[in-house]
Amino acid sequence: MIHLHSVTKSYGQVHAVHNVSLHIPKGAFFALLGLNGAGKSSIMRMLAGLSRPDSGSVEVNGVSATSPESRVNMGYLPEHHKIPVGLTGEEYLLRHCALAGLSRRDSKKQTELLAKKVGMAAQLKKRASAYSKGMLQRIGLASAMVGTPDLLLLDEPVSGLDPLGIREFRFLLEELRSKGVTILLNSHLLSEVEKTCDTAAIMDKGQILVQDKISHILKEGETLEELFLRVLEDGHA
Amino acid sequence: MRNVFLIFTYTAKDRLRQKSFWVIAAIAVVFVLFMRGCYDAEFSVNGKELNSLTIAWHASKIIFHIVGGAILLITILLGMRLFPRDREDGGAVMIVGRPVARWQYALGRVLGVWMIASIFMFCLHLAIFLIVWNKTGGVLPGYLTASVICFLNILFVVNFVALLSFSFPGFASGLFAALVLVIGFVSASFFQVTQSKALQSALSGSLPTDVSWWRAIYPKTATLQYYASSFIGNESFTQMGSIHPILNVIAYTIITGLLLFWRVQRQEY
Repeated sequence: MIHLHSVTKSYGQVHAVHNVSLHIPKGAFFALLGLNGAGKSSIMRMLAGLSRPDSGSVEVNGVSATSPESRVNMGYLPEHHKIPVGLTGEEYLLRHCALAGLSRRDSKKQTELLAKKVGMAAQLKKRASAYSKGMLQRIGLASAMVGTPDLLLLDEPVSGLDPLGIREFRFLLEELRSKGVTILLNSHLLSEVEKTCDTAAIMDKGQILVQDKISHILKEGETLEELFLRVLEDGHA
Repeated sequence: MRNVFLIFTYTAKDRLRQKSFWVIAAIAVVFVLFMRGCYDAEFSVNGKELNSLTIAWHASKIIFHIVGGAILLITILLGMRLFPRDREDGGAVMIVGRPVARWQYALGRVLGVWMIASIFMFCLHLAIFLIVWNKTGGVLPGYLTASVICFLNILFVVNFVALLSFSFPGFASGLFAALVLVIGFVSASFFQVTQSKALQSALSGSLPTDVSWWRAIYPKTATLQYYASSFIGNESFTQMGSIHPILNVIAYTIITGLLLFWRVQRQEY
């Protein structure tokens, strides 16, 4: 499903991603973990076609991530999700639906359905400027799920959500898992990652230190948080 | 083409939502209504009363140029934040994160602003055309054709200011684009004046009649507007220089358009 081969990405003098290779199979619930600036969001942006690698290749379903075809069945929630000024939540979702290739009738149906799913049905007609951070995030989650994607890239999806929202998000992920959707998740909330994801990669300074099934890399009685800190200290699992 | 059409409609809708656009539109309407007075008054030169259609023709031609120039400045205002705003408010991620090619995104955005500004200008010119018809009973041939020719100027300005906005802050790119236009207008207007028969005969033909090289290759938005205005009275237009203004502006539109597409293609979001 996802292939990164020797990917390097720099922003000026900063090496955001350094020689990263990654393979995520179809149906996996994969977590990218790391401190701020580890290169997780850069990988997400490259997969979503918003950014290009300096070297190496990024492929989704065998298609280069720079090609629009790679995004046909992909949903993406960016780290700092924003809604263009002046739009209501409904208009924003309708635009996502139309750009994903849905007909007007299907767009309307799916907008209502997704708004219900993320608990925003009552707020849909409000302008985005009136939304709280949590509401923006909920609409962002709904927009990522437009068009029944088979791959979801979620960059800090629970950021700004209250405990109830986080719980609802977990149920949503479980529903998606039952449908065989592949999810790449980037989160600092390690307890949530532990509950939802089966595989993880821990990154530091643009490099992957560890990448395996979470159950394989956790020691007896160890939590993901403890593993994370240990790996960052030791540089390996 | 579906994606281009979608982005085009979103762009147009979003511009029409802006309060500043409606403030400018209101000012333009007031200006046009104000101009109605020109067609009501009676003018005389050396005691001889002028024909109302002649006055209407002269007044309409001046208004044509004022509207044409003002719309280019409005286009700069609409275009200078087109792509920077998208980067800031998530508009670009919404579009580019979907199966949309970058060129479709750029084309949709450019066409949206181009159509809004062009239709706005055409409506103002149409209003003048109808006022003349209503007040004098006469029709200005070619007035609306001249307006349509000026659409090309607007497209060039959208491309140009949008391209600049990738390298400079919005205000600076707008200012730079405006400077290029103003230099073109001052230069072309000066040249038009020096080419008038009255001035040439008064100065015994001592004024230069040939076009200097830099003006031949400079973006001829102003000359194109003068060329378009020659359609109003079916006059001949001879001060074009070695390159026809339409070809000049088309060339600049294509060059800036290609550079803009290339820039959007390379942009990181």
